[in-house]
Amino acid sequence: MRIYPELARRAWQRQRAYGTANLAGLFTNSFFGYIRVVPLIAAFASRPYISGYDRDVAITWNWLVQSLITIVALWGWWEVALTIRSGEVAIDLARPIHYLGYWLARDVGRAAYATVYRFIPILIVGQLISGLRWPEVPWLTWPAFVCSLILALLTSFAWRFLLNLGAFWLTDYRAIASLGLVATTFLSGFLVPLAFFPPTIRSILEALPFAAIIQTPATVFLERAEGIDLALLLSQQLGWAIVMLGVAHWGAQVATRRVTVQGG
Amino acid sequence: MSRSVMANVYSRPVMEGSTSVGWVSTAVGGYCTIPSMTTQITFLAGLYVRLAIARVRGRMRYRVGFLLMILGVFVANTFEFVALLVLFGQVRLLGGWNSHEVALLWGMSQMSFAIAEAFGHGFEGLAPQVRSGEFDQVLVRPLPVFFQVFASDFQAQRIGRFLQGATAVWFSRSDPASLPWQASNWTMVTFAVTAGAVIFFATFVLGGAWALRVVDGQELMNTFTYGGTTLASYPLDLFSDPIRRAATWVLPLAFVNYFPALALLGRVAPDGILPFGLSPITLALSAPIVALMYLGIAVVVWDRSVMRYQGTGT
Repeated sequence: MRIYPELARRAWQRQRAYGTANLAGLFTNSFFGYIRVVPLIAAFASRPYISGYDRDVAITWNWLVQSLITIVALWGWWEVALTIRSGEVAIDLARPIHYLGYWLARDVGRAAYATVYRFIPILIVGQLISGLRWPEVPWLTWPAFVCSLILALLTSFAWRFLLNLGAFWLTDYRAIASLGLVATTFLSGFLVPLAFFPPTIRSILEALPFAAIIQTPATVFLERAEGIDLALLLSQQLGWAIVMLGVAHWGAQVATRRVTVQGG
Repeated sequence: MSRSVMANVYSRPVMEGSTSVGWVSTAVGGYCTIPSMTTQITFLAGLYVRLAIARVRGRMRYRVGFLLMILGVFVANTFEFVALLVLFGQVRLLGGWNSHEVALLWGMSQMSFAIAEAFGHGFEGLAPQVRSGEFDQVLVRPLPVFFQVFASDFQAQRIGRFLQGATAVWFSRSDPASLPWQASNWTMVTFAVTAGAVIFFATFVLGGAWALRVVDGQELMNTFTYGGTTLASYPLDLFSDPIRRAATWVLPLAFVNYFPALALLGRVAPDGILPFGLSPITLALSAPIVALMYLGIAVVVWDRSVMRYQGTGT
């Protein structure tokens, strides 16, 4: 069982090899955070509240989602697909460890690195540039947020893993899979808070698993859900994480049976 | 596969014109003592067209994938545009600009960037080639380095972004409150988009030059290319003074769409944003000159970077 923590540690170390690239990425994230916060602030010039968000909540939402995307890797993650293409997948499958678990452990290592070297620094940049609204009930919000973040990572991992599995069937999988990720940025509440959508669309989007990837942790951090609502929100997220991981596990089994059929 | 196609198109014309042995490949234009400048340019232009066609044909062998890629780029941009409209669903104005006016900025910025991306992608994808040492091969081929990188990756699928930009402009014109446009207005849009494409292209060239010096800096360049087009998609007067100045004097994004849009929409600019207090129309008309000057600077910087290039030792 020591193998999975070890895999995660290796993935963390692998990220460290790209120190300069990470620094450059941090700069890019900060710049986009700034560009996107400016129109948002302008929107609050004419009215104090938009769907319950005030200016400070919206500014914090902006910097928070900008820092979250590196943890949930919404800009693309094709490591599984690449091994399918190169044939390395055969070696991965021959290992006496759980295939999905193997990739999950690696993704957790990557995400842990992203949390320390991207998530936290970007929030600091946001604090310096715009000033953020920090949780008012820290003893409840921070633990809830950490739980929500872990569930968001699990849901996003399962979804990305499923998109990668497309490579088992299609050579042109990349275009479709990219489309899937792009849709996720919109449906998850990364481009604009789901609360800003017209009511009907909003309730549909909030019910989908994509909301669990970005909007839910943001809602928790911004303390937009309290008491029983918070509990319900986290349970819904937990439900999606379990369902999505289940589907990913099933998908991996169907897909790997296919490898055997093809002979690798 | 694409490598062998390239080798083919490269070798043939050079062998046919065996008089042109004197290519100096480090310089941008390259020079050659025997054929005239015009012959050279015609030769390179012809070569570019052949390579671009080869590239598109290669892509078309996976027709579904190619069409999906175009669709993907279109949809990605549409999502971002719709997200903006969702915000406008909540407020009527952003810094005094309504949704139709912002859509014009958005559309022009996206169209310019799409053209620049289609032609400039060779410069964008340089970093991995520098890292692997593949770029060294480019240096020994008997063609100008600038041309080789320029011609290495023509990306026809960027038309997806262009079409999304055009849709945004169409949306902008669908505003019932706006005045009808004359042919001269459309000419101005065309000019601005072309000048904007040159400005973004020059930014890709500068990015390529940067990649020759700093291998791990790819993501930093995204700030100026993708970040630049995002910045230009919103009214410049929303941003703080240092950003406004940088977008006028350093990376002339304001000339891509902001000054032209002010002129087209008959908007009054806030104090101090127009350089030398010139009118938006004058500034819009000077966009092509600014674009060419900027491209000139980019090309000089590129040239110096090629001269100083040391490789990574791989």
